[in-house]
Amino acid sequence: MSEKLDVQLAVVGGGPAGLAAALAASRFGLEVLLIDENKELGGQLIKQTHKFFGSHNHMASVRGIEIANRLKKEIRENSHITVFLDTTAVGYYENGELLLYRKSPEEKLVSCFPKAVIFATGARENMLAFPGNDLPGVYGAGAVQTLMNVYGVLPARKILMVGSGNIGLIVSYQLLQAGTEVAAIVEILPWIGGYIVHASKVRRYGVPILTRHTIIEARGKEWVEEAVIAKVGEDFNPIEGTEKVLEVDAVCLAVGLSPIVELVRQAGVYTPYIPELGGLVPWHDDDMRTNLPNVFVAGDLAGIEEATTAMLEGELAALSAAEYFGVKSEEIQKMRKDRKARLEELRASRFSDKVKNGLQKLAAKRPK
Amino acid sequence: MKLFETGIPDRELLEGLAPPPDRAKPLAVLECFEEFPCDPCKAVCPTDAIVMNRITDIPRLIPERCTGCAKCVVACPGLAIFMVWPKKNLVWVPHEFVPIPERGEIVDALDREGNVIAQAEVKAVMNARKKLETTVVCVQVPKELLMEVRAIRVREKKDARD
Ligand SMILES: Cc1cc2nc3c(=O)[nH]c(=O)nc-3n(C[C@H](O)[C@H](O)[C@H](O)COP(=O)(O)OP(=O)(O)OC[C@H]3O[C@@H](n4cnc5c(N)ncnc54)[C@H](O)[C@@H]3O)c2cc1C
Repeated sequence: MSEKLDVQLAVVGGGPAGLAAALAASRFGLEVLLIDENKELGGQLIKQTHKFFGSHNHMASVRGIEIANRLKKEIRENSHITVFLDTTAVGYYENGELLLYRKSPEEKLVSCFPKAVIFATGARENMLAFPGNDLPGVYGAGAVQTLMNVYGVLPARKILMVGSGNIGLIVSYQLLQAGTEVAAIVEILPWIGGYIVHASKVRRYGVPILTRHTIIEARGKEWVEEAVIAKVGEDFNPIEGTEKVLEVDAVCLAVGLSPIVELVRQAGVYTPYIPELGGLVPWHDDDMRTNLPNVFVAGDLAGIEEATTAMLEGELAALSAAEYFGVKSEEIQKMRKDRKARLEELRASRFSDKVKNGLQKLAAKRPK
Repeated sequence: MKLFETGIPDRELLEGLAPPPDRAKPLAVLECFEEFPCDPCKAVCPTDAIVMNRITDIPRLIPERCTGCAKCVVACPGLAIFMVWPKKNLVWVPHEFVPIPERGEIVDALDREGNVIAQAEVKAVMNARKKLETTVVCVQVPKELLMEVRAIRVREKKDARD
């Protein structure tokens, strides 16, 4: 059974980018349909039990889950925003049709032709190739976080973490808090990828961080019983004779994220390959406009970064959408200037060099 | 510098952070050695004792201004700020684990690598009941370990059922 629906602005994805976009768009009088496939809004934020970094004025030192709660409350109280939870956007076609698969309250397909769409679908985790990576007990960091922090299920007794970016470091810390022993964190690069304070935090509880190391195999009969790690040389290949066997019942992979671009590609948004931004990314300008006049993007989809930047991008996308609908107000220009200045400030450290390079490359690929 | 390979601050980075032995009040010890965008410590300091010009700067402490209030210890998202008071042999460390120890309890005191280097008595616990705030535990340790103890672990309680 399928149903038709009248929509002005659809926002696909209810993470920090989508929530901020919906709220900002409603401020300019737009009627918003906010769609998320989960039973709860918040995206990645609902798993983040640690305190966020960033500027004190903009929710730093607040835990991710609390940021989600604040935004969710604002959304609930906003009469311009309709929320569809448990709903997946399954198709976006060249004729402008957005097809929604609703799992509840009643299972059905809903078709709509939104006049504009902001995509904020986030990212998915990267996999790593090694023998045994299909054994039960080899998890992505997102799954580990969801099990622990959303469902209260302990994912392992003793675990090996692969990757020392912020996600690997933070999830290791959360595993320790949950009562899992972290055997080690292996990192193939010669240095730690994430913020050093996060590394020091897990190191203090006795977790060794092994740079220039990688996993070469996971072993076990029915599930992971041990993991083999080894040192790598300058060419990143394992050095023979340096293998070590760790007795663990799980392996957690935190080796990067890739934007979820399927829907925007379907509609004809140009998605060049920019490794610095996570792989294929929708082309967009610094106002989050794509090559299609009524399609905007924000958050990890527009380049893997952070929740703080995702929210600012969400707001910028909403401003562009408001302009698309002909809204003229000084407020738009004021907000735009402010949000761009904040983005620039957040991107001022060396950690953002990669993203900034990526954005430059992306700008150079502007379609004709 | 080993810090960026191991997560363990090098000795030379810690030089100059220790409070003078006769200081009248506790002093914040900022073990934050990397530039990245983060400023809650500066923002919560009631006496402007923490200086940063840009949000990506490494925070610098002006000891004369620090009153030892521990607000920055609670606020730091990196759990990288501690407090030390040589006069009373006290160290304050952030603690985000359960169980939260009680005053008078003896806990394991850990160094920056996670080695147990002392048994320490808990002298005070801040924010024990605030769910979203970081708990700060104050322990008494031997004088020579004031700049070494950086975490605590509550010993497993003998369960009556065992
Ligand atoms: C362990 C960890 C720690 C982190 N710590 C920090 C931190 O301290 N500070 C910080 O700023 N950032 C942090 N981040 C990063 C931050 O969580 C992400 O950058 C941010 O959540 C991205 O927001 P988003 O809205 O773009 O995507 P997401 O939060 O991923 O939200 C996207 C949403 O869209 C939904 N969706 C996708 N496709 C569809 C579809 N077809 N139909 C319907 N719904 C769909 C998804 O289910 C999801 O709910 C951390 C991330 C991790 C994993």
